[in-house]
Amino acid sequence: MSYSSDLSRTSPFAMLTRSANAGGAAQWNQQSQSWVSASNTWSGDGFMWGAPTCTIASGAVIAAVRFTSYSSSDRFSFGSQWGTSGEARACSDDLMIGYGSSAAWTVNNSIGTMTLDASRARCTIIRTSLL
Amino acid sequence: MTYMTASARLEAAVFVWASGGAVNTACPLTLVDHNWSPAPVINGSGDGLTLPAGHYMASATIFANRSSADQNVSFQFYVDGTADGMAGYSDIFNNNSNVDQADVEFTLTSSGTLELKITGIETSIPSLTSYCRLVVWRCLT
Repeated sequence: MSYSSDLSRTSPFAMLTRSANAGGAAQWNQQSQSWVSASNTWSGDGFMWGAPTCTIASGAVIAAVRFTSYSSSDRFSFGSQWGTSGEARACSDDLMIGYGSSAAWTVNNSIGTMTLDASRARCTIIRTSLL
Repeated sequence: MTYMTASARLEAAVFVWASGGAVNTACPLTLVDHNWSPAPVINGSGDGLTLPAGHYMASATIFANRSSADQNVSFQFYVDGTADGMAGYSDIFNNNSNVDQADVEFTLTSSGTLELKITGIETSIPSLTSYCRLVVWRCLT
């Protein structure tokens, strides 16, 4: 929730989400602060963490996910998604945690189809250059 | 002439949250530690925070002892009485197969309230432990 603000400083906090489930390389498409671009980048640095949790349409999903927190992609970490047959949604074993100027992710390898779950996936950011 | 640019202070407060006993009932809060100035204010009924104007981000995690696999809950933040942010879940709530934290980011231009509520119960509420944590980050200026 955001109210029209008369505070002297822009919020350093932001949340990235999805408006609807999406597969493939779909990224966050909702940004709670205008200092985050539509491509999920911002100027200066920020600490971010979150989870691109996913659904399971059928069967199981095991996915290795690469998280990138810097536009030149030299800062990244890996996490995994997994869920077994009969479950509707997968578990994120590792959060995406990074420090940089972007919040992107790619599926490096997977068994089954990874579809971002709009009801659960989120990424939060503290932009340190605004503090 | 050079002027110094004022820096804002990033503050954090940590609480333990407990079950409110029913769906849509605010969860009792106990302050663990903080670096807020002024200090956090838990309301008179002990189940919400009264906050001054500022920018906020909060996360809540659950740690429960269950007597059955379907003893799960979902939980969410409420800002000024309205559900906000992304919900959290205990394991396999409605077949979600996950433990999610609840997250919210919001700005208050005047004083307001923040509560955490259990928003769904699969069969019954599990026993919540003192490891259920709620962290509130804020920047006042």
